[in-house]
Amino acid sequence: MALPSPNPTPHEPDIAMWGGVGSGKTAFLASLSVALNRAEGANEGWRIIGADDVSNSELTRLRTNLLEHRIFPRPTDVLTSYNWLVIGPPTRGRRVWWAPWKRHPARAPKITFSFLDGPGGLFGKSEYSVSKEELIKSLVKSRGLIYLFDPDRRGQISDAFKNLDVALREVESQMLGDDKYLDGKLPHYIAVCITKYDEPNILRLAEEYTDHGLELPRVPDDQARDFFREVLARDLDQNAGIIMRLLEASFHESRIKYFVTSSIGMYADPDKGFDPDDPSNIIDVPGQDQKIRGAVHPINIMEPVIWLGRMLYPKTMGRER
Amino acid sequence: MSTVRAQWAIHGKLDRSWEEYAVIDSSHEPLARSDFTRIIDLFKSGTMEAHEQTKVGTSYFTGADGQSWVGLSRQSESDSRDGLGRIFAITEFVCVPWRELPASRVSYRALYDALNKRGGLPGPQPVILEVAGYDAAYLAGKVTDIARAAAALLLTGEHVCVVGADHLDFRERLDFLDAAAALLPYGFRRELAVSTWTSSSTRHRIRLSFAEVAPPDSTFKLQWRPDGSARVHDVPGSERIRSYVMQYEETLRGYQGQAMTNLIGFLAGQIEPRSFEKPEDCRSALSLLREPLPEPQPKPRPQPLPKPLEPAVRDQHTMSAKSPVQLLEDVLDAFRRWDRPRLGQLILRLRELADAGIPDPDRLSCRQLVRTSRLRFQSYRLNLPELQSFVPSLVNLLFTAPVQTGDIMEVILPEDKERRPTLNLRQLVCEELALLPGDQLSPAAKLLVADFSGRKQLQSMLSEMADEKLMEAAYELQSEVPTRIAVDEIIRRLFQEKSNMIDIVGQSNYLLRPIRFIASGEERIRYYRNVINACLGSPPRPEGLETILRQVSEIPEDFRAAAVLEAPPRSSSVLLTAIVMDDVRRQGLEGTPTGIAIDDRLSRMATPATEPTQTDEQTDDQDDDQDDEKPRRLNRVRNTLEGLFGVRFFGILVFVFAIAMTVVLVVRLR
Amino acid sequence: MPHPHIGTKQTNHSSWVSTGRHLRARASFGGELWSGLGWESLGNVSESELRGQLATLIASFDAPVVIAGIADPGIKLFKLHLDEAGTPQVSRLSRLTWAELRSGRDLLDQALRESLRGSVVESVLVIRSGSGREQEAAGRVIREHSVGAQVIEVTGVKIEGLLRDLVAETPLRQAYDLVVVRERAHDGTLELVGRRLFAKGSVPGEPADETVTVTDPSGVLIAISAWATPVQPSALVSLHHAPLPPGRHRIKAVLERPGVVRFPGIPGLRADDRPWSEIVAALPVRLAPPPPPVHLICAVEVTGTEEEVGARQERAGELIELLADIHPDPRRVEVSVIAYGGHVFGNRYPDRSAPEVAVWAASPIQALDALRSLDAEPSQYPVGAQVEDMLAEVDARLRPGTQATGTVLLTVGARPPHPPRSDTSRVLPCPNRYDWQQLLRGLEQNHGLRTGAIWDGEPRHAPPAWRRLGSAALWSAAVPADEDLAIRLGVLPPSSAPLSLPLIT
Repeated sequence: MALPSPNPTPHEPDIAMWGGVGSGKTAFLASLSVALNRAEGANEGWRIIGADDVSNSELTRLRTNLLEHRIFPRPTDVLTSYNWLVIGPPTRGRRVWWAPWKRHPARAPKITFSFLDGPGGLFGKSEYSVSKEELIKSLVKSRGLIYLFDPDRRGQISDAFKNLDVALREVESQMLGDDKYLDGKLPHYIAVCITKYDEPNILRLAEEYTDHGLELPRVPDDQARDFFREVLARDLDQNAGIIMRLLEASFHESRIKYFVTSSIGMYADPDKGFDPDDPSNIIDVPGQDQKIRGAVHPINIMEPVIWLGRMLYPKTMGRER
Repeated sequence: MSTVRAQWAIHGKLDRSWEEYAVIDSSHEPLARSDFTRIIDLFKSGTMEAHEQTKVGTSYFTGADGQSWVGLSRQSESDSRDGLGRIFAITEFVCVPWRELPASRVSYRALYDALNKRGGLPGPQPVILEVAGYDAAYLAGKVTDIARAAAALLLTGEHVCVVGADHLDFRERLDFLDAAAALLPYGFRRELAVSTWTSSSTRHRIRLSFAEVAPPDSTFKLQWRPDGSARVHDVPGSERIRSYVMQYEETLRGYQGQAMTNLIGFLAGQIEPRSFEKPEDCRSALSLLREPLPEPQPKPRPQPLPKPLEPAVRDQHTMSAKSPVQLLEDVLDAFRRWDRPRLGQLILRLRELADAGIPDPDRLSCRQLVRTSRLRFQSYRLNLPELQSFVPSLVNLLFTAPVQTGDIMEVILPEDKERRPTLNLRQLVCEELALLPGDQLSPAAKLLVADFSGRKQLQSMLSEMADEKLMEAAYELQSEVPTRIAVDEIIRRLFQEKSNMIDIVGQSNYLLRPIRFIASGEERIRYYRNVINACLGSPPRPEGLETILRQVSEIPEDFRAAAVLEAPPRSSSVLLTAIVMDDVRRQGLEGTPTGIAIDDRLSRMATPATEPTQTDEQTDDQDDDQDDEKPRRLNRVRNTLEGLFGVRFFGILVFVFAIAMTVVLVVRLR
Repeated sequence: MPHPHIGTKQTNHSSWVSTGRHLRARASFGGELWSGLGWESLGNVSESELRGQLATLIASFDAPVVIAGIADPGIKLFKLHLDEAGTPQVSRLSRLTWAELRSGRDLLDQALRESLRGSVVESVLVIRSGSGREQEAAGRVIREHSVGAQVIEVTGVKIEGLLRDLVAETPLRQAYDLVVVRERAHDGTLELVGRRLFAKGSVPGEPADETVTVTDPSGVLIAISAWATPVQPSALVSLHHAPLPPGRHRIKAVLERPGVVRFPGIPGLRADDRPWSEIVAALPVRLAPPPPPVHLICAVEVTGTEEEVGARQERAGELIELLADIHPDPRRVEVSVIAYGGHVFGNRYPDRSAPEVAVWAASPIQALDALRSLDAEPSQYPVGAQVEDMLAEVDARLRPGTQATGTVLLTVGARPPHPPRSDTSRVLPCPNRYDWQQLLRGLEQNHGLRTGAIWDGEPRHAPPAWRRLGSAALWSAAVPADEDLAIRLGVLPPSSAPLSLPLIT
């Protein structure tokens, strides 16, 4: 009996999501679906829509759960792909030399992102699994990676290390076996996201890296790497420190970027705004689904995606770092 | 209702675990946990979302030993939470070897219901699922245009997705999936994965499922409509495939009502494994559908057997057409040649004949014919409609109710008990007989048939049989093995003392005849001893033995021997009386002066033995060991002396005193 | 007058013979003494004379006196002595008939030896009312034993009845006091004193009375002691338990006879056989002080199921009822009832829920009504409750110069307070940023507030916050509130040992 073939997916994923159990991959995507539409400042004007019926319905579902039901996604059981169209703000019309009297119509950058989200613990298990094989395949084929690291996993960091280590070995053995990549590094762009920044204890830990000048605190991108190192150094597990070295050994340094992210952000009182004494945006009641307390304020959710977009599609999105 | 042994696994997370989804418990043999992990992984239908209904899906795989398995999973929300406090999905999974499915023609719904009814899945052993029989009429009731379209589209080898049915209860969806599968030859179920819900953003391998939206590209999307209407219009791919699908759908549309039930019954018989990946399997499905359907068989079995014919009718009957024997010969010949068109006609005629009834001599000849027939059938052909209508008719032809063991013994041969991959006609007849209602067969015949149908059948038959029927069977059976089984069962029940078996055995002469039939020499005595021992009960009493011996007419020597061996203490006189009186009866002396004298003498001999104290002492003495002989004698002497002394002591005292007084008087007087 | 002499023992009786040697040995020793002293005989007297002589003896004797009554049927030996309380008592030592004596002379010998042995018998009085050979002989034997025996000869006197009558009629040789307790003026400690009921010389039938205060609801002990000297009480004469209710009572007493005082008009009086030392040891050092004023603030969490909230109401209600019932001065009891719930999170509008003061500083009855009118509310956020808001409310109400002595805060609930700021408990901070610990400290320091708590679960599983809230007493909502809780909370004075003796002021 032949192994049954899965239903075909139209796109190979551009961006694969990747991280340990409960590191917040699906929540990241759910948040992304609202983040772009809320963006202000430099990223204002970006929108996200589903590239097809399936992705549209998934997008709606993720959003509904996050915004209406105010719940987090259930643990992902199986590889799931999302094809989303990210539409940027229109660029100003350009004049060209052959017709300087008229402006070309404005064009909005439009990129289809295919994300692949899978169960987090696949690499933690030594045994063969179909999903694991598929995930590796997708990691190999994708060009951008979003690696999510949950710093709040007390005592689970060694899992994160194992997860990363196994996955990188598998991907490297498939990609670096031939002479295609002479420098011995993987060609991906990788956005390393230190998630759950909204957790009060992570907030406290990040205190000295935090920029308080904004409406909500955030760790600036140039501080994110240092913060990551600090998180790893504080962990009791000796392997924790290796995680960063592992990443920087496997990827080009210029293709790694660190982000300190939060899918739902901190709680901001509608009247009084953010209060460092009361930052938690989660209503955590044992025995019930965790609920989101106030408005969702994604922090550094769209930034990694736009960064990857700019790296992967410099022409469409404009190269900018 | 039939039972299947299913391997099982539970997939999910442990309470408060930080680990990834995994198989957390399963049965052990013959499938390993990795097998379960693989099959569950392969047929995942998407992450279970909050407030989603229970998901039921089927799957299939080939084990390491090449055996095919068909699985069914039920996924629901966990009661517990993982390390992050999230509710997760718990999947209960059962799988059954494919080869066990066609025999009972299990439907998905029946398997799901059986799993549901089973409750927990404990221990490393497989679970025994009680699966309801294949209900063609129920399935036919679930057939809609969408189901027809889905069945036809599946034959293209592509996935089919039904959308717009979010509101339906998952059981209704499961019924739909079952109905669609029922419109294909059963053999396709070997490689058919269905699910009551899939997420289209997941790369799943579910061939037929429900979803919110259909996955993009090469999956057929069917829109659910409340009235069930659907039509396949745009089938991509070649014109050939398109027309093929249309034809299949169109042909299905031709069956309505009872015809649809018949068709589903027929398709359920098509159990040769088929694969959606093989175009030829798909193509042949249509030709199967196009074949002239066999006679509608509204559940041919069980039918009451004809009564023996009245002589007048019989005469009238012999006048017409071919003799039953000739007709039967023709049928067997047609089977041999696999001449299907002719076969259909012949079987029809045979059935008419059988329904009308045939004269006894013809019946005997037919039995002879079947007995000598060398025709054998491949097991996969057993479900052929021709055979399915022929065998009941043949049984009708061969037997009249109630069927006796003798009738059956005329048809079957001892070697028919051996099972081979192919079945001969007699074995088919035997199996058919086993399906007849209880009142159509004598108890012994039932046991005989059950014995021929295999030990398991026999056991279940025995356990259901009433005491009286069992006894009837033991006396009637002319075949050693079933008789032995019946006798063994009777003795077993005797010892259980739960039933009124003891009374029944008493009324039936203590199994003398059946035991004589099945055993000889020492073995026979052993049997008798068991019967006596069980009937005596515990503790055995002489009165019990007396009852037994009085009830037995003409006590055989070996039964006497057994009675002696089982005789309780103090029953020698009982034994003697019983044996001598039995002799008196045998020699016709009962009631004669001699007989009366013997009786009288016997009772006088027995009288002192009934005096309580003395008998007790005597028998107790007899029971004592030889070693105690001397002290006992001494005791007896002492007892005697004491007795004497005690009685006479006073007298002696008086006497001595009198003498002394006399002496004193005499001395004084002097 | 016959003298005891060896030669006089002329008799046929075998038993006398068998013990002859022993008697002879004694007699030879005593004989020498005897010959010098001789018998003192008072001679024949009339019955009235005897009466007078005996009454004088009973009223004046100190050392025990053995009285031998020799009469026609036999000899009776009596002992006249003073008991522990100094009351004359007469008791019969032995009674021997002549028939018995005839069978063994040494019986009398033995009886006499036993009577005289071990006690300091000063004198022996022989009262002879019969004459005959046996009487003579007995007299001789007595004389052998007690050389100083006096002999009175009377006729026709029942000596036993006479003695008993005389003992009952004799006037008191000591004063009889009622034992009472009074507070010492300088330090308020309690001391035992006697109140004179019967003076020395009182005769039976004399009445007396004394007014005392009973404090123990279970009754009072009436103890009579005899005072030999003004300083030293002699032993207890009698001890009775009288089931008199607390309050002032006039106790009437009648002297029945020496050693027996009757208390007419006290129903249910019964003798008490507890050792006196035990009673004295159980007496409190001081009288219980009057209870202080109490202000009990019951803060009841109203979020939860009907059963949970019902149980909390019931517990708080029990305590209030107890206070109303048992508190010695219910007018000084004030009760407040505050209902508090939970904060609401996850709503778009700000949380405006606040604790509700159902009743403040009201009577127990009003408080009970208010308590019972509280309704259970479903919990929106079941991991925390507005304890801190409730404390802020209490703080605000106590602040304006209230005299807060005896203020007790009883928190009844299940959920912990919200922290003032986000912490590791994952309980969201109080939207008002109240700091429950700080508030509690302030209340304790500024108002001397005592805090008790009734928690839904078992106290040993209570989280730290609830332990803190119940620092004076932590009680389970599954256990009915009882006096113990009230005492631990300080709303009832600790039960001191009851004062079982009458009090005089």
